[in-house]
Amino acid sequence: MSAAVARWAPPLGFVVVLFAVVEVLSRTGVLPPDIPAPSAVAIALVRELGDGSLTLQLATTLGTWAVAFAIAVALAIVAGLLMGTIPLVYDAFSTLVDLLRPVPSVSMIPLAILFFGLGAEMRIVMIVYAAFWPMLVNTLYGVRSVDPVTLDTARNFGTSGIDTLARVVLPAALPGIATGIRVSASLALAVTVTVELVAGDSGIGHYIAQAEQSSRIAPMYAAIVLSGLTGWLINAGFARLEDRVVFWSPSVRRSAEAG
Amino acid sequence: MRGRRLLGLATIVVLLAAWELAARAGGNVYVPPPSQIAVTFVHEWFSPQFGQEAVPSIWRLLAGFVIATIVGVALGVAIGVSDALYRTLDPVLQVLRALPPTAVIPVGILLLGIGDSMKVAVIVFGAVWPILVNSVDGARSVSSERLDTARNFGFSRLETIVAVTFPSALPQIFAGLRVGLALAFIMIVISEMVGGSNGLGYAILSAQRTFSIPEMYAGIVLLAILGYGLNALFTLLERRVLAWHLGSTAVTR
Amino acid sequence: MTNGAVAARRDRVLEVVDLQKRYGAGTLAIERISLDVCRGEFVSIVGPSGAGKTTLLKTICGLLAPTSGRVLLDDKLVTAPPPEMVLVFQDYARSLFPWLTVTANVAFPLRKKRLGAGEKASLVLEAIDAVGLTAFAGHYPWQLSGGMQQRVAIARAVAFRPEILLLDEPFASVDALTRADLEDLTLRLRAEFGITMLLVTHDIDEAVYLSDRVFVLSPPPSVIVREIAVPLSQPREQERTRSDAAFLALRNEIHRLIGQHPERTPAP
Ligand SMILES: Nc1ncnc2c1ncn2[C@@H]1O[C@H](COP(=O)(O)OP(=O)(O)OP(=O)(O)O)[C@@H](O)[C@H]1O
Ligand SMILES: [Mg+2]
Repeated sequence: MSAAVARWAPPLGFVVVLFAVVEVLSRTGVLPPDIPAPSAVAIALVRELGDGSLTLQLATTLGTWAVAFAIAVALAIVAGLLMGTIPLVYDAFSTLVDLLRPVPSVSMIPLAILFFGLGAEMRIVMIVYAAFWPMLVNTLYGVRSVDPVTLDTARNFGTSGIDTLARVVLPAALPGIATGIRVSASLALAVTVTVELVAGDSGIGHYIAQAEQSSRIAPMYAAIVLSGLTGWLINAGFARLEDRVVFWSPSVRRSAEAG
Repeated sequence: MRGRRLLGLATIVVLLAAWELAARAGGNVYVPPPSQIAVTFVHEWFSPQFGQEAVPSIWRLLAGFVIATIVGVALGVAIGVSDALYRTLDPVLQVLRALPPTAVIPVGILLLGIGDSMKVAVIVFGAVWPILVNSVDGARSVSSERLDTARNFGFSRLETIVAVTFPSALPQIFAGLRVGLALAFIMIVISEMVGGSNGLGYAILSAQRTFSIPEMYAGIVLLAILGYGLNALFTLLERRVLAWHLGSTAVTR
Repeated sequence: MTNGAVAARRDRVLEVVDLQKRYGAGTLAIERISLDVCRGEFVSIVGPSGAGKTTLLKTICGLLAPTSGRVLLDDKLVTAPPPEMVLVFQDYARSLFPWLTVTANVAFPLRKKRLGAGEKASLVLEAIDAVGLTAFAGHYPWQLSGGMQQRVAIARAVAFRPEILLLDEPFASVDALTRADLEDLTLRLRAEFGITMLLVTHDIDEAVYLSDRVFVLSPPPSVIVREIAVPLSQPREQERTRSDAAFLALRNEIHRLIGQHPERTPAP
């Protein structure tokens, strides 16, 4: 109990003091009207969540995110296993991956609009594309870290290809996959909000853009705060999952991210 | 080694050739053949248009990234070496880092308009968190033997931070910089799409809106080349600066 | 006792008085330790693993504050790391800087000395030469073997020209041959640069071989069980000294004090 207090008191205290200062500066007119008082943002957040307008957008965003993220993870794991276990596939595609991975994914947005219009389909395609790369790279990293001796041993015992994949490769690749899932989950959310902002007709990103255009300042900040908390929850949740999967090697997360 | 390289290049050539043939046969205006995109690319970007659209994007990107680097590393190391600061600010940083960064672009437009300062500001905001968080982690993971060594030889706290903590944290800082660079790219493209009158993000989106299809592709290709090129430059810099780290980890592995 | 040691005894350079060290509100690492070291002397502290040896050295050189008691250097109270004392850490891999070459690592502490560039360069060259690493001056620590890395750490300490060198199990993680090499190197440096040595180890033979005096520590929370003079002739030589009957008698006595047989000397 007291450990929790010791842990959360300083950051909470900091946030309270910061908000109090902004509150005063905003109410006394020192800050421009475009920076509202935190209390106004909090009220807007509660109101918009309560009357459903923001709740609905959050649900839309999370729905799009979940579908696209699941597709990206599935595609990338399959691609990663293929590339990681079959040398010919790896040699054929690794150059292409190296070429495409550093390309800023959001530059594809106009292309996606061209093919899929402004609806949910376009958004999902964009998110899948963006989230695919870190997932693929981390899966590959995991698969390729499988000890060749273990593979040979499995082969010696006459284990079939599928069996080897399921019993040797997948478990060894799990830490990389878990890292990929965490990194892609956060990236997928960021891209979801981004496409909604640029070319959406719904979702939190769209809500933020609309609020800005109609000068509904406090609701705009409320939506940004909400998207931040959502991102934090998603990241914390997947980090916890990752810690559980890679409990034997806490350094995996660091090295995989650096690579 | 060489054969593998060739196979990788062959894949790309085959894919491009297939695209070329399909585009010529299909006649879909949305899918011009690569040859036409290449011609348009030369025509579009080997022209004054490069100065009007690409150069502003590049300098905004670099300015934002450099500012984010300076701010992120300085603040990050400062937070990392102070337990009190770390305990107070780390949870706040975790939330800010998880905020989808493009969500603040409307705030930038509201406060700063749609000019350069807005774009540089939102790039800084987008890129700074991973740099900051990694600098914090890097500064915190310096071994106590290294710190004790410096203290033993009479180094002051500030001297120790400069001579020991900062270099020790460099590998992690670079990991953060790489993520920051990718985010800087997202921020420049989106901020130009949402609130721009020039720049590459603006150019490709308006090409799409006016159905100048080959021009749109040419713009995407230029962005791709920039993304790839800056990333390659970054890797080169990283290899130079972190040669000692790469060497030492290769040995222990 | 040799004449040298008797003369040195009058010239006390370091004095530890009733030192106690508790980590925070938790572990009592050192119950109560008093000892002294004379100028030019080679003193060893032997104790089992976890006896608080590292804690003791860190407290002596001012990196840790004692819970109670005092450390006096030339009769002055030590409150912060004084330039007269340098500690060579147990774990060389962590105390060397992997981003600096051997030369730069050795030159590192000289940034704090107000000397001309030429003087600094010659201190560095001399120290690297003294540990026999001149051919590797441009290498990085991680390109060197463990024994060579520990030599770099020792050279770095020697270049700083401390009055007292504190050595924390400096040879614990190298092979036996390298270990004998480094032991003799330490004796040579002591003779060549006139540095007082305070060594901490759990290797009883090493302590007897190197020292003029040995302090034996109890298991934690530690106290000093016995102070033992080592009246073996100088200079020491690995084979001759170690087969000396007096040497064997001393080591057996210390083994009995620690309550362990030679084979059961705890691993690092
Ligand atoms: N920073 C610390 N905080 C709390 N307790 C510590 C700390 N460092 C050491 N201790 C404790 O103090 C005791 C003595 O540790 P110390 O490292 O000084 O022993 P040592 O004799 O050097 O051991 P070794 O032979 O393994 O090097 C141990 O019980 C250890 O757990
Ligand atoms: Mg120790």
